Amino acid sequence: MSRLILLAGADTTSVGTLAAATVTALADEGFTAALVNGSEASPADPATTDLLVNSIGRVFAALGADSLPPEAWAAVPGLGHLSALLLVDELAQDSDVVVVDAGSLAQAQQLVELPAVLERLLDAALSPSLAMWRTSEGEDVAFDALAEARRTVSRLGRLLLRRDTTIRLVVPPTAAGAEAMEQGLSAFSTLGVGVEGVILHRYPRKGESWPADVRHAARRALATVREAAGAVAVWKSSAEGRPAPKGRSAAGPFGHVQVLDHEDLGVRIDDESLALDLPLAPLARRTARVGVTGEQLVVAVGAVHRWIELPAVLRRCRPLAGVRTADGVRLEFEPDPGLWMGGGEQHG
Amino acid sequence: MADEPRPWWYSGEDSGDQGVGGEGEPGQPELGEPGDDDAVPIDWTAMLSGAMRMMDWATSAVMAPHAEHEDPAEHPQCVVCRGILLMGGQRTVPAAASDENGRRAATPITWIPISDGPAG
Repeated sequence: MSRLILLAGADTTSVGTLAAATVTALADEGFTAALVNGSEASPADPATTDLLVNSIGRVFAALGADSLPPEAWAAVPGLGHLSALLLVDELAQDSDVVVVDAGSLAQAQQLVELPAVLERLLDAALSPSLAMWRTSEGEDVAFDALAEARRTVSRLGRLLLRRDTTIRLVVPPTAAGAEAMEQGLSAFSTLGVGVEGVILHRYPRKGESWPADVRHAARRALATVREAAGAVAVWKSSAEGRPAPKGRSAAGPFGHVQVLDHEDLGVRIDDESLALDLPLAPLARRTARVGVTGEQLVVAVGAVHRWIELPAVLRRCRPLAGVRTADGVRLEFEPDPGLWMGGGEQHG
Repeated sequence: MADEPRPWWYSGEDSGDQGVGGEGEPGQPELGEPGDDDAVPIDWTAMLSGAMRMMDWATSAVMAPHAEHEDPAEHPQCVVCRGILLMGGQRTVPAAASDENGRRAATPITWIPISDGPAG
Protein backbone atom coordinates (compact mmCIF):
# COMPACT_ATOMS: atom_id res chain seq x y z
CA MET A 1 0.00 0.00 0.00
CA SER A 2 1.43 3.34 -0.96
CA ARG A 3 2.39 6.12 1.40
CA LEU A 4 0.53 9.40 1.13
CA ILE A 5 2.34 12.54 2.26
CA LEU A 6 0.58 15.90 2.29
CA LEU A 7 2.47 19.15 2.59
CA ALA A 8 0.76 22.33 3.73
CA GLY A 9 1.88 25.59 5.20
CA ALA A 10 1.60 29.27 5.75
CA ASP A 11 3.31 30.15 2.46
CA THR A 12 2.12 28.25 -0.61
CA THR A 13 5.32 28.93 -2.56
CA SER A 14 7.42 27.29 0.13
CA VAL A 15 5.03 24.33 0.21
CA GLY A 16 5.44 23.88 -3.55
CA THR A 17 9.22 24.01 -3.20
CA LEU A 18 9.25 21.41 -0.42
CA ALA A 19 6.77 19.14 -2.22
CA ALA A 20 8.95 19.13 -5.34
CA ALA A 21 12.08 18.54 -3.22
CA THR A 22 10.37 15.62 -1.47
CA VAL A 23 9.45 13.90 -4.75
CA THR A 24 12.98 14.42 -6.08
CA ALA A 25 14.53 12.98 -2.92
CA LEU A 26 12.18 9.99 -3.02
CA ALA A 27 13.08 9.32 -6.65
CA ASP A 28 16.78 9.55 -5.74
CA GLU A 29 16.17 6.95 -3.05
CA GLY A 30 14.62 4.62 -5.61
CA PHE A 31 10.95 5.08 -4.76
CA THR A 32 8.26 5.42 -7.38
CA ALA A 33 6.89 8.80 -6.38
CA ALA A 34 4.12 10.97 -7.80
CA LEU A 35 3.32 14.62 -7.15
CA VAL A 36 -0.26 15.92 -7.10
CA ASN A 37 -1.31 19.56 -6.95
CA GLY A 38 -4.03 19.51 -4.32
CA SER A 39 -4.20 23.24 -3.75
CA GLU A 40 -7.30 25.26 -4.50
CA ALA A 41 -5.76 26.47 -7.74
CA SER A 42 -5.88 23.03 -9.30
CA PRO A 43 -8.75 22.83 -11.81
CA ALA A 44 -11.36 20.09 -11.80
CA ASP A 45 -10.81 17.48 -14.49
CA PRO A 46 -13.66 16.45 -16.85
CA ALA A 47 -14.20 13.12 -15.07
CA THR A 48 -14.89 14.87 -11.76
CA THR A 49 -17.23 17.33 -13.46
CA ASP A 50 -19.10 14.40 -15.04
CA LEU A 51 -19.49 12.87 -11.59
CA LEU A 52 -21.23 16.03 -10.42
CA VAL A 53 -23.32 16.49 -13.56
CA ASN A 54 -24.57 12.89 -13.42
CA SER A 55 -25.50 13.00 -9.75
CA ILE A 56 -26.44 16.43 -8.39
CA GLY A 57 -27.09 17.68 -11.93
CA ARG A 58 -29.73 15.00 -12.50
CA VAL A 59 -31.50 15.95 -9.28
CA PHE A 60 -31.53 19.57 -10.42
CA ALA A 61 -32.89 18.55 -13.82
CA ALA A 62 -35.66 16.49 -12.21
CA LEU A 63 -36.59 19.54 -10.16
CA GLY A 64 -37.08 21.45 -13.40
CA ALA A 65 -33.78 23.35 -13.59
CA ASP A 66 -32.42 24.30 -16.99
CA SER A 67 -29.40 22.44 -18.31
CA LEU A 68 -25.97 23.93 -17.72
CA PRO A 69 -22.79 23.32 -19.70
CA PRO A 70 -20.21 21.13 -17.86
CA GLU A 71 -17.90 24.13 -17.62
CA ALA A 72 -20.40 25.82 -15.29
CA TRP A 73 -20.26 22.83 -12.92
CA ALA A 74 -16.44 22.77 -13.05
CA ALA A 75 -16.37 26.09 -11.19
CA VAL A 76 -18.17 24.69 -8.13
CA PRO A 77 -15.93 25.26 -5.05
CA GLY A 78 -14.28 22.10 -3.80
CA LEU A 79 -14.43 20.31 -7.14
CA GLY A 80 -10.70 20.94 -7.71
CA HIS A 81 -10.00 19.29 -4.35
CA LEU A 82 -12.22 16.35 -5.23
CA SER A 83 -10.43 16.03 -8.54
CA ALA A 84 -7.05 16.01 -6.78
CA LEU A 85 -8.19 13.32 -4.33
CA LEU A 86 -9.46 11.13 -7.16
CA LEU A 87 -6.08 11.49 -8.86
CA VAL A 88 -4.31 10.57 -5.62
CA ASP A 89 -6.52 7.50 -5.34
CA GLU A 90 -5.58 6.48 -8.86
CA LEU A 91 -1.84 7.15 -8.49
CA ALA A 92 -1.73 5.32 -5.17
CA GLN A 93 -2.32 2.06 -7.08
CA ASP A 94 1.02 2.26 -8.89
CA SER A 95 3.26 4.46 -6.72
CA ASP A 96 5.26 3.80 -3.58
CA VAL A 97 4.65 7.33 -2.37
CA VAL A 98 2.19 10.01 -3.47
CA VAL A 99 3.13 13.54 -2.42
CA VAL A 100 0.36 16.14 -2.36
CA ASP A 101 1.05 19.85 -2.49
CA ALA A 102 -2.00 20.81 -0.41
CA GLY A 103 -1.29 24.54 -0.47
CA SER A 104 -2.10 26.78 2.45
CA LEU A 105 -3.24 25.42 5.81
CA ALA A 106 -6.82 26.52 5.11
CA GLN A 107 -6.81 24.84 1.69
CA ALA A 108 -5.34 21.67 3.15
CA GLN A 109 -8.00 21.58 5.87
CA GLN A 110 -10.71 21.85 3.22
CA LEU A 111 -9.05 19.10 1.21
CA VAL A 112 -8.84 16.75 4.18
CA GLU A 113 -12.36 17.56 5.39
CA LEU A 114 -14.01 17.28 1.96
CA PRO A 115 -14.69 13.50 1.83
CA ALA A 116 -16.33 13.52 5.27
CA VAL A 117 -18.44 16.57 4.38
CA LEU A 118 -19.60 14.99 1.12
CA GLU A 119 -20.25 11.70 2.87
CA ARG A 120 -22.60 13.39 5.32
CA LEU A 121 -24.42 15.34 2.61
CA LEU A 122 -24.84 12.24 0.45
CA ASP A 123 -26.03 10.19 3.43
CA ALA A 124 -28.73 12.81 3.99
CA ALA A 125 -29.64 12.82 0.30
CA LEU A 126 -29.86 9.03 -0.03
CA SER A 127 -33.28 8.84 1.56
CA PRO A 128 -36.11 6.41 0.82
CA SER A 129 -37.92 9.32 -0.85
CA LEU A 130 -35.09 9.72 -3.38
CA ALA A 131 -35.00 5.96 -3.92
CA MET A 132 -38.70 5.99 -4.83
CA TRP A 133 -38.54 9.19 -6.87
CA ARG A 134 -39.07 8.63 -10.57
CA THR A 135 -39.09 11.00 -13.50
CA SER A 136 -42.23 11.35 -15.60
CA GLU A 137 -40.74 8.61 -17.84
CA GLY A 138 -40.46 6.33 -14.82
CA GLU A 139 -36.66 6.52 -14.57
CA ASP A 140 -34.64 6.64 -11.37
CA VAL A 141 -33.77 10.28 -10.74
CA ALA A 142 -30.25 9.98 -9.36
CA PHE A 143 -30.26 7.46 -6.53
CA ASP A 144 -27.81 5.04 -8.14
CA ALA A 145 -25.50 7.85 -9.23
CA LEU A 146 -25.51 9.40 -5.76
CA ALA A 147 -24.95 5.99 -4.14
CA GLU A 148 -21.93 5.46 -6.40
CA ALA A 149 -20.65 8.95 -5.50
CA ARG A 150 -21.10 8.04 -1.82
CA ARG A 151 -18.95 4.92 -2.26
CA THR A 152 -16.28 6.99 -4.02
CA VAL A 153 -16.02 9.72 -1.38
CA SER A 154 -16.05 7.07 1.33
CA ARG A 155 -13.03 5.43 -0.31
CA LEU A 156 -11.27 8.81 -0.50
CA GLY A 157 -12.00 9.43 3.17
CA ARG A 158 -10.50 6.08 4.14
CA LEU A 159 -7.43 6.91 2.04
CA LEU A 160 -6.85 10.07 4.05
CA LEU A 161 -7.46 8.47 7.44
CA ARG A 162 -5.03 5.57 6.95
CA ARG A 163 -2.04 5.45 9.25
CA ASP A 164 0.14 5.58 6.12
CA THR A 165 -1.19 9.05 5.38
CA THR A 166 0.61 11.88 7.15
CA ILE A 167 1.07 15.58 6.78
CA ARG A 168 4.14 17.80 6.99
CA LEU A 169 3.75 21.43 7.90
CA VAL A 170 5.95 24.03 6.23
CA VAL A 171 6.24 27.24 8.22
CA PRO A 172 8.65 30.18 8.32
CA PRO A 173 10.97 30.46 11.34
CA THR A 174 9.02 33.33 12.86
CA ALA A 175 6.48 33.86 15.63
CA ALA A 176 3.69 33.79 13.02
CA GLY A 177 5.08 30.53 11.66
CA ALA A 178 5.06 28.97 15.12
CA GLU A 179 1.45 30.05 15.59
CA ALA A 180 0.46 28.63 12.19
CA MET A 181 2.18 25.36 13.07
CA GLU A 182 0.19 25.06 16.30
CA GLN A 183 -3.07 25.74 14.45
CA GLY A 184 -2.21 23.19 11.78
CA LEU A 185 -1.24 20.55 14.30
CA SER A 186 -4.49 21.14 16.15
CA ALA A 187 -6.71 21.04 13.05
CA PHE A 188 -5.18 18.05 11.28
CA SER A 189 -4.86 15.82 14.33
CA THR A 190 -8.53 16.56 15.10
CA LEU A 191 -9.45 15.62 11.54
CA GLY A 192 -7.61 12.33 11.96
CA VAL A 193 -4.56 13.02 9.77
CA GLY A 194 -1.34 12.81 11.73
CA VAL A 195 1.23 15.58 11.52
CA GLU A 196 4.58 13.80 11.31
CA GLY A 197 6.90 16.74 10.76
CA VAL A 198 7.31 20.49 10.92
CA ILE A 199 9.69 22.07 8.44
CA LEU A 200 11.05 25.50 9.35
CA HIS A 201 11.66 26.73 5.83
CA ARG A 202 14.28 29.39 5.01
CA TYR A 203 15.94 29.03 8.36
CA PRO A 204 19.06 31.27 8.49
CA ARG A 205 22.20 29.23 7.93
CA LYS A 206 25.44 29.93 9.71
CA GLY A 207 27.37 31.12 6.70
CA GLU A 208 24.65 33.50 5.53
CA SER A 209 24.59 37.17 6.37
CA TRP A 210 21.20 37.51 8.04
CA PRO A 211 20.52 40.44 10.39
CA ALA A 212 20.94 39.57 14.04
CA ASP A 213 17.28 40.19 14.92
CA VAL A 214 16.17 37.77 12.18
CA ARG A 215 18.47 35.11 13.59
CA HIS A 216 17.16 35.71 17.11
CA ALA A 217 13.55 35.54 15.91
CA ALA A 218 14.29 32.28 14.09
CA ARG A 219 15.84 30.74 17.20
CA ARG A 220 12.86 31.79 19.32
CA ALA A 221 10.46 30.34 16.75
CA LEU A 222 12.43 27.08 16.68
CA ALA A 223 12.19 26.80 20.48
CA THR A 224 8.44 27.56 20.41
CA VAL A 225 7.77 25.07 17.63
CA ARG A 226 9.79 22.32 19.33
CA GLU A 227 7.92 22.84 22.57
CA ALA A 228 4.47 22.84 20.90
CA ALA A 229 5.30 19.96 18.56
CA GLY A 230 5.93 17.52 21.37
CA ALA A 231 7.10 14.26 19.80
CA VAL A 232 6.56 15.49 16.22
CA ALA A 233 9.82 15.83 14.29
CA VAL A 234 11.01 19.39 13.62
CA TRP A 235 13.77 20.24 11.19
CA LYS A 236 15.30 23.27 9.54
CA SER A 237 15.31 23.78 5.81
CA SER A 238 17.28 26.15 3.63
CA ALA A 239 15.77 28.00 0.69
CA GLU A 240 16.49 25.01 -1.59
CA GLY A 241 14.29 22.82 0.54
CA ARG A 242 15.28 19.94 2.79
CA PRO A 243 12.51 17.35 2.65
CA ALA A 244 13.64 15.25 5.62
CA PRO A 245 15.74 15.49 8.77
CA LYS A 246 19.43 14.81 8.28
CA GLY A 247 20.19 11.18 7.58
CA ARG A 248 16.51 10.16 7.23
CA SER A 249 14.57 8.88 4.25
CA ALA A 250 12.18 11.38 2.68
CA ALA A 251 9.51 8.68 2.89
CA GLY A 252 9.36 9.02 6.67
CA PRO A 253 7.42 8.73 8.85
CA PHE A 254 9.13 10.77 11.54
CA GLY A 255 8.39 11.24 15.18
CA HIS A 256 5.23 10.29 16.98
CA VAL A 257 1.98 10.96 15.16
CA GLN A 258 -0.99 11.66 17.43
CA VAL A 259 -4.46 11.81 15.93
CA LEU A 260 -8.05 11.66 17.02
CA ASP A 261 -8.66 8.12 15.81
CA HIS A 262 -12.21 6.87 16.20
CA GLU A 263 -11.00 3.27 16.33
CA ASP A 264 -8.85 3.97 19.38
CA LEU A 265 -11.55 5.57 21.50
CA GLY A 266 -12.06 3.52 24.62
CA VAL A 267 -14.74 3.92 27.28
CA ARG A 268 -13.89 3.71 30.97
CA ILE A 269 -16.59 2.81 33.45
CA ASP A 270 -16.52 4.58 36.83
CA ASP A 271 -19.29 3.71 39.28
CA GLU A 272 -22.44 5.23 37.76
CA SER A 273 -20.81 7.10 34.89
CA LEU A 274 -18.86 6.32 31.76
CA ALA A 275 -15.85 8.30 30.56
CA LEU A 276 -14.54 8.82 27.04
CA ASP A 277 -11.03 10.23 26.51
CA LEU A 278 -10.44 12.29 23.37
CA PRO A 279 -6.74 12.77 22.59
CA LEU A 280 -6.25 16.32 21.29
CA ALA A 281 -3.30 18.50 20.35
CA PRO A 282 -2.46 21.30 22.81
CA LEU A 283 -4.30 24.10 21.01
CA ALA A 284 -7.33 21.89 20.32
CA ARG A 285 -7.30 20.88 23.97
CA ARG A 286 -7.76 24.51 24.97
CA THR A 287 -10.26 25.58 22.33
CA ALA A 288 -12.26 22.52 21.26
CA ARG A 289 -16.03 22.37 21.62
CA VAL A 290 -17.49 18.91 21.88
CA GLY A 291 -21.11 17.94 21.33
CA VAL A 292 -23.40 15.03 20.64
CA THR A 293 -26.00 14.71 17.89
CA GLY A 294 -27.87 11.49 17.39
CA GLU A 295 -25.29 8.74 17.60
CA GLN A 296 -22.38 10.97 16.66
CA LEU A 297 -19.83 12.97 18.53
CA VAL A 298 -18.85 16.35 17.08
CA VAL A 299 -15.47 17.88 17.83
CA ALA A 300 -15.17 21.47 16.63
CA VAL A 301 -11.81 23.24 16.55
CA GLY A 302 -12.08 26.62 14.88
CA ALA A 303 -13.74 26.03 11.52
CA VAL A 304 -12.89 22.32 11.55
CA HIS A 305 -15.55 19.78 12.50
CA ARG A 306 -14.86 16.10 13.07
CA TRP A 307 -17.83 13.73 13.20
CA ILE A 308 -17.20 10.44 14.95
CA GLU A 309 -19.54 7.55 15.62
CA LEU A 310 -20.11 7.26 19.35
CA PRO A 311 -18.92 3.98 20.85
CA ALA A 312 -21.95 1.67 21.04
CA VAL A 313 -22.18 1.77 24.83
CA LEU A 314 -22.57 5.56 24.81
CA ARG A 315 -25.45 5.66 22.35
CA ARG A 316 -27.96 5.16 25.15
CA CYS A 317 -26.26 7.59 27.47
CA ARG A 318 -26.46 11.32 27.88
CA PRO A 319 -23.43 13.57 28.16
CA LEU A 320 -22.85 15.21 31.52
CA ALA A 321 -19.72 17.30 31.27
CA GLY A 322 -16.19 17.45 29.93
CA VAL A 323 -12.87 18.12 31.63
CA ARG A 324 -9.60 19.15 30.01
CA THR A 325 -6.80 16.75 30.80
CA ALA A 326 -3.08 16.65 30.03
CA ASP A 327 -3.73 14.75 26.78
CA GLY A 328 -7.07 16.08 25.60
CA VAL A 329 -10.61 16.15 26.89
CA ARG A 330 -12.40 13.59 29.03
CA LEU A 331 -16.15 13.39 28.58
CA GLU A 332 -18.49 11.93 31.15
CA PHE A 333 -21.74 10.21 30.28
CA GLU A 334 -24.46 8.59 32.31
CA PRO A 335 -27.06 6.05 31.23
CA ASP A 336 -30.18 7.84 30.02
CA PRO A 337 -33.11 6.11 31.76
CA GLY A 338 -35.51 7.30 29.08
CA LEU A 339 -33.46 5.79 26.30
CA TRP A 340 -32.64 2.60 28.16
CA MET A 341 -36.20 1.93 29.16
CA GLY A 342 -38.00 3.40 26.17
CA GLY A 343 -35.70 2.33 23.38
CA GLY A 344 -35.51 5.87 21.99
CA GLU A 345 -33.20 6.75 19.15
CA GLN A 346 -31.90 10.20 19.88
CA HIS A 347 -29.93 11.90 22.57
CA GLY A 348 -31.48 14.84 24.25
CA MET B 1 -81.01 18.80 -3.64
CA ALA B 2 -83.83 20.97 -2.41
CA ASP B 3 -82.04 21.75 0.89
CA GLU B 4 -78.73 22.69 -0.67
CA PRO B 5 -77.75 26.34 -0.76
CA ARG B 6 -78.38 27.95 -4.12
CA PRO B 7 -76.17 30.35 -6.04
CA TRP B 8 -77.10 33.99 -5.68
CA TRP B 9 -78.31 34.18 -9.28
CA TYR B 10 -80.87 31.41 -8.76
CA SER B 11 -84.27 32.84 -8.03
CA GLY B 12 -85.77 29.59 -6.81
CA GLU B 13 -88.94 30.21 -8.79
CA ASP B 14 -88.04 28.42 -12.01
CA SER B 15 -88.85 24.75 -11.88
CA GLY B 16 -87.60 24.15 -15.43
CA ASP B 17 -83.94 23.75 -14.40
CA GLN B 18 -84.27 20.30 -12.92
CA GLY B 19 -81.19 18.30 -13.79
CA VAL B 20 -79.28 21.26 -15.25
CA GLY B 21 -76.54 21.14 -12.68
CA GLY B 22 -75.00 18.08 -11.10
CA GLU B 23 -74.53 17.58 -7.42
CA GLY B 24 -72.55 20.43 -6.02
CA GLU B 25 -72.41 22.14 -9.41
CA PRO B 26 -74.20 25.36 -10.26
CA GLY B 27 -76.88 25.31 -12.97
CA GLN B 28 -76.75 27.47 -16.03
CA PRO B 29 -78.73 30.68 -15.90
CA GLU B 30 -81.31 31.38 -18.52
CA LEU B 31 -80.35 34.38 -20.53
CA GLY B 32 -82.94 37.07 -20.76
CA GLU B 33 -83.67 39.17 -23.78
CA PRO B 34 -81.31 42.11 -24.38
CA GLY B 35 -82.53 45.17 -22.66
CA ASP B 36 -84.52 43.30 -20.04
CA ASP B 37 -82.37 44.69 -17.21
CA ASP B 38 -82.73 48.27 -18.35
CA ALA B 39 -85.86 48.75 -16.40
CA VAL B 40 -84.65 47.03 -13.25
CA PRO B 41 -83.02 49.31 -10.66
CA ILE B 42 -79.85 48.03 -8.92
CA ASP B 43 -80.74 46.52 -5.58
CA TRP B 44 -77.51 46.66 -3.51
CA THR B 45 -79.06 44.77 -0.64
CA ALA B 46 -79.99 41.94 -2.95
CA MET B 47 -76.50 41.92 -4.45
CA LEU B 48 -74.90 41.78 -1.01
CA SER B 49 -77.21 39.03 -0.04
CA GLY B 50 -76.31 37.21 -3.23
CA ALA B 51 -72.62 37.61 -2.54
CA MET B 52 -73.14 36.11 0.88
CA ARG B 53 -75.00 33.21 -0.68
CA MET B 54 -72.15 32.69 -3.15
CA MET B 55 -69.68 32.55 -0.28
CA ASP B 56 -71.86 30.00 1.45
CA TRP B 57 -72.09 27.95 -1.69
CA ALA B 58 -68.33 28.10 -2.28
CA THR B 59 -67.72 27.02 1.28
CA SER B 60 -70.03 24.04 1.09
CA ALA B 61 -69.36 22.97 -2.50
CA VAL B 62 -65.61 23.63 -2.80
CA MET B 63 -63.85 24.21 0.51
CA ALA B 64 -65.62 21.55 2.55
CA PRO B 65 -64.74 18.67 0.20
CA HIS B 66 -61.17 20.05 -0.15
CA ALA B 67 -60.70 19.98 3.61
CA GLU B 68 -60.46 16.20 3.35
CA HIS B 69 -57.76 16.27 0.63
CA GLU B 70 -54.37 15.54 2.17
CA ASP B 71 -52.32 15.25 -1.01
CA PRO B 72 -53.24 17.78 -3.71
CA ALA B 73 -51.72 15.55 -6.40
CA GLU B 74 -54.37 12.89 -5.72
CA HIS B 75 -57.29 15.26 -6.36
CA PRO B 76 -56.84 16.86 -9.76
CA GLN B 77 -60.63 17.40 -10.03
CA CYS B 78 -60.54 19.74 -7.01
CA VAL B 79 -60.11 23.40 -7.93
CA VAL B 80 -58.21 24.25 -4.73
CA CYS B 81 -55.88 21.27 -5.10
CA ARG B 82 -55.15 22.24 -8.69
CA GLY B 83 -54.39 25.77 -7.55
CA ILE B 84 -52.03 24.50 -4.87
CA LEU B 85 -50.24 22.30 -7.39
CA LEU B 86 -49.87 25.20 -9.78
CA MET B 87 -48.62 27.60 -7.14
CA GLY B 88 -46.60 25.09 -5.14
CA GLY B 89 -44.82 23.73 -8.20
CA GLN B 90 -41.72 21.80 -7.18
CA ARG B 91 -42.75 21.50 -3.55
CA THR B 92 -44.74 18.43 -4.36
CA VAL B 93 -41.72 16.31 -5.36
CA PRO B 94 -40.67 13.55 -2.96
CA ALA B 95 -37.63 15.51 -1.76
CA ALA B 96 -39.98 17.73 0.20
CA ALA B 97 -42.11 14.89 1.49
CA SER B 98 -43.00 14.61 5.11
CA ASP B 99 -41.11 12.57 7.69
CA GLU B 100 -43.50 9.71 7.01
CA ASN B 101 -41.91 9.48 3.57
CA GLY B 102 -38.42 8.90 4.89
CA ARG B 103 -37.04 12.32 5.72
CA ARG B 104 -35.38 12.70 9.05
CA ALA B 105 -35.39 15.92 10.99
CA ALA B 106 -31.96 17.30 11.84
CA THR B 107 -30.99 16.58 15.42
CA PRO B 108 -29.44 19.66 16.99
CA ILE B 109 -26.00 19.31 18.52
CA THR B 110 -25.98 19.18 22.31
CA TRP B 111 -22.76 20.94 23.27
CA ILE B 112 -21.11 19.58 26.37
CA PRO B 113 -19.77 22.07 28.93
CA ILE B 114 -16.00 21.61 29.30
CA SER B 115 -14.08 22.83 32.31
CA ASP B 116 -10.40 23.03 33.10
CA GLY B 117 -9.25 19.98 34.99
CA PRO B 118 -6.29 19.75 37.37
CA ALA B 119 -3.94 19.29 34.43
CA GLY B 120 -5.76 21.63 32.08
